[in-house]
Amino acid sequence: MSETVIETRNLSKEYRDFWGKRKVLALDDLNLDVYRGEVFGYLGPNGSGKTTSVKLLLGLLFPTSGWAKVLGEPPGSVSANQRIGFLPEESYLYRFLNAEETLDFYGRLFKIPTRERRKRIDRLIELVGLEHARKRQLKEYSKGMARRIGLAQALINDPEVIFLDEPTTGLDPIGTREIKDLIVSLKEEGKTVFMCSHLLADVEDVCDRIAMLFLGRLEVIGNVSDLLTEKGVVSFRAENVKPETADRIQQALEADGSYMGTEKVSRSLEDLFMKVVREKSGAAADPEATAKAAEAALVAKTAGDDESVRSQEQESQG
Amino acid sequence: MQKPPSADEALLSRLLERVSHASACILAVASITFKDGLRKKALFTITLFAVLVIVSGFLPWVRADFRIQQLTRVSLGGMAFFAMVVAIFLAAPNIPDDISRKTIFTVMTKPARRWHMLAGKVLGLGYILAIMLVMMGTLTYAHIRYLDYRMGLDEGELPRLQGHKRTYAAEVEHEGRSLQLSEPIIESGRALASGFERITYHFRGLDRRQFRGETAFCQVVLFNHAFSYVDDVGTALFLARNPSTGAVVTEIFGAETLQPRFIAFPKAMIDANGDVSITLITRHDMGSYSAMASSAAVLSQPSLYVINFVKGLALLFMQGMVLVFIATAASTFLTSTVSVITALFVYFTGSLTGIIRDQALALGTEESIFTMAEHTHGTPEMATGVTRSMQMGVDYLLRYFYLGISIAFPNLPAFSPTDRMATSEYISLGALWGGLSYGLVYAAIAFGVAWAVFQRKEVA
Repeated sequence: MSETVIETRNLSKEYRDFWGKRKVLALDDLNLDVYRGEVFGYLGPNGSGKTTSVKLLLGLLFPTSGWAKVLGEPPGSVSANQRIGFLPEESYLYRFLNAEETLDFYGRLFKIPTRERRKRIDRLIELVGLEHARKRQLKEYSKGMARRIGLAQALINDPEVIFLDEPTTGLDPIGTREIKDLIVSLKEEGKTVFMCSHLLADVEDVCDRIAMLFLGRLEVIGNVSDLLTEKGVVSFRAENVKPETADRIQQALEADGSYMGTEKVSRSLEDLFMKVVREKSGAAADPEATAKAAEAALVAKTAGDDESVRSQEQESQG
Repeated sequence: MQKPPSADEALLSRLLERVSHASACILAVASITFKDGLRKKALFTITLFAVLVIVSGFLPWVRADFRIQQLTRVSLGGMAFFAMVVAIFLAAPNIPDDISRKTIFTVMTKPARRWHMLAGKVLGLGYILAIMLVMMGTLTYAHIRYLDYRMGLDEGELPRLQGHKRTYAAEVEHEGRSLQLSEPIIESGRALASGFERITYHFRGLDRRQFRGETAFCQVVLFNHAFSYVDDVGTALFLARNPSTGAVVTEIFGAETLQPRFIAFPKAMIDANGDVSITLITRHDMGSYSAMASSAAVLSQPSLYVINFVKGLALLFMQGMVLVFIATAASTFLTSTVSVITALFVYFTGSLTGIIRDQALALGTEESIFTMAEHTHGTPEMATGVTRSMQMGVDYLLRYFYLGISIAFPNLPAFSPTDRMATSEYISLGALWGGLSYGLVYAAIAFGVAWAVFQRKEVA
C-alpha cells in the first residue's frame, strides 16, 4: 500500500456559541486515510461537514478532538503548506490584481526565485488557458475564468497534494472536461488530489476512491468501481432485435457452451448518493435507526462485494 | 571531502532561511496591502491636503511674522489628521475584509505564518502613510519656503527657517533686576513714568563644542505685563559680555510680546569656561508701571530647518503607525466598524493622557481636597471628618484609575511636532529617538496582542 498523505483519527469539530454552548457538531469522529497518487472524492450534501473537514485539514480551523496530519505534518504548518495546493470553493482571490500579479503574489509566499516564478506563471497561465486575459483584473473575469486562475494559484508551488473544492463549478462542459483532464494528468504525475464536489458525474469520472459524509459522519468509503458495481446483475444490449430473435437468445442462453458478450450494469454515482442521503434523512430523527439504516443500506449495497468496500460502524453516541 | 556543517552552522543557516522566508512573505503581503490601499484611493487625501494648504493661504493675515507659524500649524495639523484617518480607516477593516471576502483562505494555506500576514499588512499601510506624509511634507515645505521668499527676512529672523539647537547652560543666574524710572508725571489723577528695566542672565558651562560656527544665537522672549494685549513691546537692547575678557557686543532690536527673537552674537563672547553674560535692557513707555518680563536662551549654531522638518515628519509617521498597530490589533477580534471606533477612542483618549496624568497626580493630595471642597461646598471647612476621609479615599482610587489610563493609552502629543515646529523649536535627536522608541513600545504591545489573538483565530 502506498504512503498515507492525509490521515485523520477521531477528528471532531464542534461549533460553540459565545457562551461555550454547543451549537452544532459539524464533524464527528472522522477516520480517513488518503494515499499518495490517488484522486480522492469527498462527497456529501450541504451541511454534511465537508468544508469543515477540508478547513481542518488545511489548518484554518482547529479540531475539538482528534487529530489530522497532512504529509505527516500538522495541518496549517509551514512545512505542510509548502507542499500542498488549495482551490477554495469559490476563487477567493484579490480582485484588483490581474492573473500575472495574482500568481506572482502566491509565488512570492513560497519564496520561489523570480526567474523560476516567471516561468511557472507563464506555464500555468497557458495550462489553464488564460493567455488572452493575463493582464486583466480578476474583477473582470467570468466565473469560469476565476476558477481557472484559482486552479493555477493552487498549482504555483508544484504541490504534492492538491485540495480542490468544487473545481468544475461555473465551468462550461469544455472547461469541465479540461479540468478533469488536468486532474487525471496530475494523478499521472504522481500527485494526490483531494476533491470535494457536488457534481457527481465529475467525481465518478476522475476519482479512484470516494468518501461520503452525512451529518458530520463518514458513511461510505471505498473504490468508485466497487461501490458502483451491482453484483450478480448482467445486462445484454443488441439493436434491431426481433422478438423471435430475443427468444432464440433466451434459448441460447439456456443452452450451455455458447459465448455472449456481456456488460456489467452500473448504477450511476448519483443514484448511490441519493439513496444514501434519502435513507439517512428518513432515519435522521432517531440516531439508532440512523445507524441501523446505514448499516442495512451498506449491507444491501455491498452484499457479495469484496473487502475494499467497508461499512463504517455507526455509533449512535457522540 | 566537504566537511559536514557543525550544529552551530546548521542552526545559523536555518535561522537565515527563516528570516529570508519571513521577509519574502511579509514583503509580498505588504505589496498587496499597498495596492489595496491605492485601489481604495487613500492617496486622494493628498489632494484634499493640497486644497487645505491653499485655503490656508487665504486665511486673514494676522501678522506677517505669524504667517509661517500659522501655515506650519495648519499643515502639520492637517497631516496629523489625514494620517490618523488613513491609518485607522485602512487598518481596521484590513483583516476583517480578508476574512469576509475569504481571500485569507488562499493566503493562509500558503507557507506564510500568521504573524507574517499581520506584519505584511502593517508594513503595507506603512508604505501608504510614508508616501502620503512625504508628499504632504514636500508640499508644506515648498509652501513655507515660498512664503519665506516672498516675505523676505530680516536679520533678527535669521533662524526662523533654520531651527536651532537649544543648549541650555548648566547653570543660569539672574543678576538682579533693576528698574530705573523717570520722575512720575501726574496726569488725570494717575502717576505715569517711563524708564528702563535691566536684567542680566549668566550662562555657565555652555558646551563650546556645539558652537561650530563663529556665531551663536540668543533667543529672547519679552512680555509686557501692563500691556499684554499690545503686541508691540517696543525696542530693547541686547548686550552680550565675555565674563573673562570683558568684551561686549550690543544690538538694538524691536520686540513683540511673547514672540521669540533670535539675536546673533559672536561666539567669542563665550569664554573658555563656557560662560557668557546676557543683559537685556528694555525701555518702558510712559505709563508702563508693570515691569517687563523676559527670558533668554543661548542657542548654538543653527541647523537646517528642513532637518527639523524631517524629524517632525518622522514623529508624525510614528504616530500614524501606532494607530495602524492599534487598529490592526483590535480588528483581530472585533468587526471592522467596532475596530474603527476603538481606534478612534484610543486616539482621542491618547490625545488627553498628558492632562489625565497631571490631574491624576494632583488627586488625593491636601491641595486637591481643598480645591474640591471649595468648588463643591463653597468653604474648605466643610471638608472635614468623614467627608474628608471619604473624599481622600475616592481620590486615591481615582488617582490610580486615571494613572492606569494614562499609562495604558499612548500619549499621542508626545509624537506631535506641531507646536515645536510652529515655534521654531529644535527637535533634538534625543526628543526624536525618545518619541520613536515610545511609539515602538506601543506598536510592539499592540502587535503582541494581535499576534496572540490571530494565532489561534479560526477562519470559517
